[in-house]
Parts: sequence; structure tokens; C-alpha cells
Amino acid sequence: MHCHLQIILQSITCRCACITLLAIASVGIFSAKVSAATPNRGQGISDTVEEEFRQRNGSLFTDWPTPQAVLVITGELDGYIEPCGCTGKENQKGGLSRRQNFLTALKSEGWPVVAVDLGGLVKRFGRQAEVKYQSIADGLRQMGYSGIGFGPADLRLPAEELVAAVAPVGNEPTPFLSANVGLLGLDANITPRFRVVEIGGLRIGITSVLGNSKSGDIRNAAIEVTAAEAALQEVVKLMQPGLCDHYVLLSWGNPEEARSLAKSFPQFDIVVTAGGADEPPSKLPVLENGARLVELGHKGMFAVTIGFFDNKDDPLKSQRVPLDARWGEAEDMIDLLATYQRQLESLGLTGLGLSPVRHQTGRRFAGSDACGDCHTYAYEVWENSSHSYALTTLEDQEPRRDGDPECLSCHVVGWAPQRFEPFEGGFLSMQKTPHLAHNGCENCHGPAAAHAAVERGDVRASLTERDRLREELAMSIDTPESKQKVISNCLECHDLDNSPEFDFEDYWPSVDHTEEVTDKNE
Amino acid sequence: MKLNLPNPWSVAIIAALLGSLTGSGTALLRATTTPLRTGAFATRSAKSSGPRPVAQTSETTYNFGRVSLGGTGSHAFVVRNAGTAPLLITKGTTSCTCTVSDFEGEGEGKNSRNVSAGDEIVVRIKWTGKGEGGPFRQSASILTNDTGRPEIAFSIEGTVIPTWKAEPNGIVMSGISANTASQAEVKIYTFSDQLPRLKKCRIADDSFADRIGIEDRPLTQEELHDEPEAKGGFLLSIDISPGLPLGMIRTSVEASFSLDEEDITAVVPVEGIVSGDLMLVGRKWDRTYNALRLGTVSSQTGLNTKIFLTAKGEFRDNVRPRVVDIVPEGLNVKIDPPSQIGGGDVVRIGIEIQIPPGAPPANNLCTKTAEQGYILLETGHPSTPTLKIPVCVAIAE
Repeated sequence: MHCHLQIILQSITCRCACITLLAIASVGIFSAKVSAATPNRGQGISDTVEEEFRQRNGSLFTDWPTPQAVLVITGELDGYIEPCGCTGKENQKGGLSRRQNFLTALKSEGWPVVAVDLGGLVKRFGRQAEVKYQSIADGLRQMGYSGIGFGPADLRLPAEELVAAVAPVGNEPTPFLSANVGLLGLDANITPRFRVVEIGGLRIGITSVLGNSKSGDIRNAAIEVTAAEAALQEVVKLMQPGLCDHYVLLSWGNPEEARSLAKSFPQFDIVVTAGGADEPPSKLPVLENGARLVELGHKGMFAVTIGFFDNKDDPLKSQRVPLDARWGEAEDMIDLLATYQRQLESLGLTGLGLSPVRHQTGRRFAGSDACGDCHTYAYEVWENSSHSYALTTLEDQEPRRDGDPECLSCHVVGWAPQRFEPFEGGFLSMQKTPHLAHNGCENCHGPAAAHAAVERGDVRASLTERDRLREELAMSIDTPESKQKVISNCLECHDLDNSPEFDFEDYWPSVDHTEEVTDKNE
Repeated sequence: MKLNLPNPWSVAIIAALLGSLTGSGTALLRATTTPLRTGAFATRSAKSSGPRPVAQTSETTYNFGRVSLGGTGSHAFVVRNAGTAPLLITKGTTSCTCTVSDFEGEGEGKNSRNVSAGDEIVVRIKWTGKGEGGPFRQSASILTNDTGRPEIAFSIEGTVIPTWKAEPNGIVMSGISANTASQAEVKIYTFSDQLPRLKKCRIADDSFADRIGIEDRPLTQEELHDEPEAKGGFLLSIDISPGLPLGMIRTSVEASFSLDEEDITAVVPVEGIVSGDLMLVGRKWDRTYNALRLGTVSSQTGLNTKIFLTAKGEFRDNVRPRVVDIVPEGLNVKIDPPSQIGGGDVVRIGIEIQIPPGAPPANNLCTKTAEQGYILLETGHPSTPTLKIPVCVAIAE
């Protein structure tokens, strides 16, 4: 538009009149930009949903004219490929599907978008984390990311898996990059050290580093990690100061480390850090040298968006975007998730390297029906609670989640909820161990196979032994200590992710099954 | 470049039309006198509409500093009505672990209040320290009838100090050699004034007990300085002897100690993969099926790809691969010279695989009817002198 205006100005004879009128025209154009709709929802999302989540989590892009370009920054996904938590998904934030729709919404408004990710795609170790890393990497490629860094947990995965996930595909360059991390060595050049992206008439230079405080945790000899400062000295030279309009540093370390790097390398005007609080600040802190420090929160719940404007007075705006239900679901990412779930299912527990571990008591599980033979009242309460169809809720999801150990661990009997692995004698599959489906009695009381066998008379035991087995499984909320033990059990599954509203006093009445004990005592 | 234009007035009319089509007339007039910001419009129009409420706050962020796990805190934010009409405030939303208390003072309802012009009201935000400790930031908002500030977001932040903390909180040893010893360290920091009393340290899985040893000692003052607020702790040195079986390690170190008369067991996961000295790595290397999957390749376009052979263990520098045999014959294989990765514990050797244009057709797709191809290497490694790399490929005309 500016080029056209200049050409016209040079071509006409009556400059003054035209300048005035062209100014009127251009004001009209810019006014239209000001009043243009800003992205506030995913495709197909109703006004009601948009309004509900706007009220819950805030308005977006208020006062934003159309930017020259926007930089969307994500990271610290921590393996939360779906919105954090299993229950009440619509109340949770995050997930690749909403992220995809958010990026699409920006582009649909004509905003030129460049997306970068700090890294930290996964948090755990093992075959499931490897499959998940590959799936997330594929998802980010599909979304058109221009730069993706590495978090420490990413770099703990086997080098062969990392290379397979991040190496270029065909003629497409890899979006993964790092100034100081080299898979199979920096000189193997599997990933570049930086990238320059041209978007909306701007040049944006992007690089990433793993902070020195984190490099000691990487015990993976096939990965070379050099000191962050030395690596940035080299990369900054290669990036040619002045070549780009903006320089972005994705720094995986703590915020103090990022501040220190920002001070040493003032070329970077956007410095992204890991290790902040669960949610990022609503306004970007400005460092001494004028650089913006970007925190992202955890679990991929937010996308921090920076808009660049051709306006000397207000060249940059930022928006913390909660990835809530107003963005809806993206078919591409739902397909990706379905493929991921199918992979887990086809690998099975053995393929995922999940061999059952010994329960701390050394005992095995009987299943809730065995408990119900005698504890009829407690069984009735359980049967009427949502615990009794916990596995069904996974089977009924689309795609189904009953092959996913991270979901199974709280939906069946005999798993370690926070370690996502089965105990010996715990649930394996509906075919092999149907009696251990759903979240049953023994997940709180402990494995009861020996107790049930003695009570049924299948195994002969002394009265002392019989009473000892009973005592082992008994629980009480009568004293603060015993109650705290019960609550701790609940919190294994009702954690902040999956049950943020959990309060024992509120939840207990719906599963209170103490009457039977009272009867027995009588 | 010069454009032929009819006359200045035509340009003017077109320009005016363009302007009116792309922006409203109202916006046009305003934009001629104010900066191009919608926020400026909103404030101006609001000011000109008679008596109105104006919400003022002296702060919207409060830092609690360092607080203990499970503790609660609250902060009073003051909202003043600096306008000329009553200010209506209503509770908005809060993030997970903080709540807005009922508004203080007289008035109707707990969730909303009218604040007279010139008066102020306290918005108290309460917060409970949940989770594992570390930095926190939570927010809560109130909604107002001030059109210039319909929503005010308050933010509280700080750091939750846990009872204890393991750094790192897990040990992962990726691709350790079955034939080489490995070491790792974990620091357990405690934050109580009382020093911890270590009772017992053990590896949870007895089957690893003869290969994984643990030694402990109290943390020095210098080491404690690495963790702000830490008052005590101990260092666990973990030694892994050669001879672990190939495959996955999943166990944990359990350190039992007493602190403030409470018995605590710190469980630090120890995970890893014990692998042989030689390993293949690459985009097309399928680790699940141990095969190089090249798929169907057109003989007209050909293919270039690269995988890497990595060597670790005491014989890593002896590894000098040499091609002995290739099936199908259309594959060309070039071996790069070895280079060390990082500190030199691993040696990397690139293997370039090429199917040149015009290569003869072949079917080695690793199916029931199509036998797998392979690249047979002599390695130079004493315990794995030859390495057969399965290749699944079809070369189509």
C-alpha cells in the first residue's frame, strides 16, 4: 500500500489536493484496520462459548490493529498433548488441538504468524514418552512451527529416537534448532543452530539454548551440549547483528539464567525462559536492556503472542492467550492423537516396557467383586459411585484412551497412579484381568487377594494371621493422622491436574462407606 | 514506473471512496484527530457521556515472597471509585488455587458491591500453597461497570518452599553401556530449621542391589547455597557397575530420613536404557523392528539418505566399519570417517546410503514374498566383528 501511494504521489500534478484526499483515503484504510475483528475463537465456536470463556479467562487482543507480524511462543508442554487433566476437559487449558485452531484463527484474520516453541515436549522417560515426543514433533511440524528448542527431558530420550523425530523430512528443513545442543554432536548438523524467518516484511532471527544449570542433568553421551554463553557468542556472529528486525532467544533454564543471557547478548529483544510459575504474567516484563522476558507457564496451557506493529509509539504488543475451549478442536490434531493412541495400543504394556513391579506390601489383588462378597454395603456404595465405571469412561472417549498407561493408572485396580505402571497382579487388559477393571476398593485399602482367600476358606490361616490381614486393609478417618493417610491416597489420582477442585470434605460423602464397619463393630 | 492517471479529482474521488468503503465515516473523522488506537476512542467517548464510574487501583500484582507448602496467604487490593457515578464491582474468575473473598462491608450480596463516587472497597484474594513447591502465579479478576476498565485482573505470585526437594528429581541414564561404569549424584535439600537425620538409603529393586551402590554424606554449606532457603540436606552418590542386563532400567533410590519428628521417604526414580556398544541412529532407522525402512524408491529419481553408527565402550576407537556385502545391488554405501561426540565417550560414523538414478529394479520390502535386503559391515569391534543392517526397500522402474 505504501509503495502504491508513493508512486501515485510522484505521478500526479496537483500534489496538494491529492495528498489531502489520499490522506483521507488512507485514514479510512487504517481505521478499517483498527476496527477489524481480532481473533477470539476457533472456527465454528458459538458466541455463547466464546463469551463464557472470555468471561472466565479474559478478552483477547483488545485494542490490537492488524499487526505486521505476530510471534506465537509456546513451550513446556510437559507431555500434555491434550488439555491437562482427564476430567472436565472443557474446564482445562492447553492441548495441541486448540493450539492448532488458535494459529489458524490468527492466520484467518490475515495476521502473518511465526510460531516458535521453547521445547520440553515431554517430561517423562520411557517408550511412551518416546512415542509421544514423535507425535508432538509431527504435530508441531504440521502447524508450521519455525523454531523448536530442546528441554532437558527431551534430551534424556534415546538419541536414536530424538534423531528420528527431529531430522529433516525429505526436502523440508527441520524446525528444531539449538545453539548449544547437537544430536550426535554439533558437527553432525542434524539440526541447525539458528534460523532467520521472513514474515510480514520483517526478518526474525531465532535460536535456542539449553541453560548451563540444566546441561548437567543430560546423561546422554550421544548428545553434545556446550556452554550456553560460548555457543551464543558463535551463533550471534553467524546471525549477523542488524540483519534481522527482531532476535528471539529460546532459553531453557531458570529465569535468572535467561536474564543473565539477555544482559550478555543484548541483540535479543525477545528472551523466552523456562522455569517460571504455572501461569505466565499477563504483561511481559521489560529487562534493563529493553528486551522482553517471556514466561510460558507449564503444560502448554498458554500461548504468548507478540505483535509487531509499524508504529513508532507502540511497536509491540503482547497477549497471554489461554488455550481454552473457545478455540475448539482441530481435526488434524485429533487424527494425530488417534494415531498416538493406536500406537500405544499396538505396543501394549510389554512394548511400552511396562513390566509389573512389586507392590510395597508384596501382596496381590483380588478385584472389587471379591470384596463385595462380604462388604455388601461398601460394595453398593462403590457400585453407585463413578469409581465403578472409571475404565468405561476411557473406553467411551474418542479416540479411546484405555490403551494409554497415563490414563489407565487411575482407572483400574493395581497400578501406581503417579508412576503409570502396573503392580504385580494388577490390571493388564480386559481380556486377561476383567475383574480388575475400574477404580476399585484395593486402590485405597491395598491388595486383598490373601485376605479374600483366607475369608473364603481357600487358604487356611490362624486367627492371628486372619486378623492381621484384616488389620492391614483397614482404614480410618477418625484421627488426623489416619485421615491424612486416606486423603493422601485420594490425592494420588485426584491431583491438581485431574481434579483441581478436589476437597476431601466435599467429595467424601458421595463415597462414604463406613456404615458397614459400624455394623460389624456392633 | 509512472502511472497514467486521468486527473487529480478522479484520484481524489477514488481515494475518498476507498476510504469510506474500508472504514466507517465515524472512525474516519475520529482518526483524523486522534492517534490510531481504539483504546483512545473508548476513553474519549466515555468521558464525554456525563457522570460515570472510574475504577482506580494502586496495584494489580502482589508478591508473597517465599511461603511454606500448605500455607495460606491473602492480600487486600484496594479499588477506588475516582468517578462521578456509582461503581458496580462483581467477582470474576480465578485460577486454580486462589479465591476472591466475599466483599467486605455493608451492601447487597456477597459477590457484588456498589461503590459510591470517591469511596473505595477492598478486594481480598486468598491463596493456598498446593503442589510440589516452586514459583507460583495465580490470578483473579473482578468485573466493573467502568467502560474504560470493564475487567481488572489481580495477580499474586511468589515461591512455595517445599518440606524437602531432590535435585535432580530423577536420574535418567540414556544409552549407558553395559560394559562401562556410570555415576550420578542427587542432592536432597531440606528447608526446616531442624537438620534431617538420614536413616536408610536403598535401591528399591533388589535385583539391582549388587550393581547399583549408594553412598551418602551431609551437604556442605557451599552446596546448600545453591538452593535458596535450604537449611540442610545430604548428597547421594550413585555408582553403577558394569554388567547390567541390556534393556530398560526402572527403579528408584529411596532415602528415609526424619525431619521435625516426621518420617519422610524421598523416592528418586532411576531410569535408563542399557545398550550394546554399537547402535544405529537415523530418521529411516526403525528401532522397533530393527530395520532400515527406505520404502519404494523410483529408479528414475533415486534416493540419498544417511544413518549413523554410534560406538561406545572401551573399544569405541577400534570401530572402523567396512562394507562386505550389499543386497540389493542397486544400493551404494559410503562410510564417513569416525568423529567423537562431545567429550569423546561416543564415536559417530556416518553411513550414506544412495540409490542412484538408473539403479536396477529390486524388491526387498521385508514382506512374506520379498526378502529383506541388508548391508553387511565388518566393524573392527572385538565382540561384534560383523554387523548386518536389515534394509527394507523396493526399487521400482
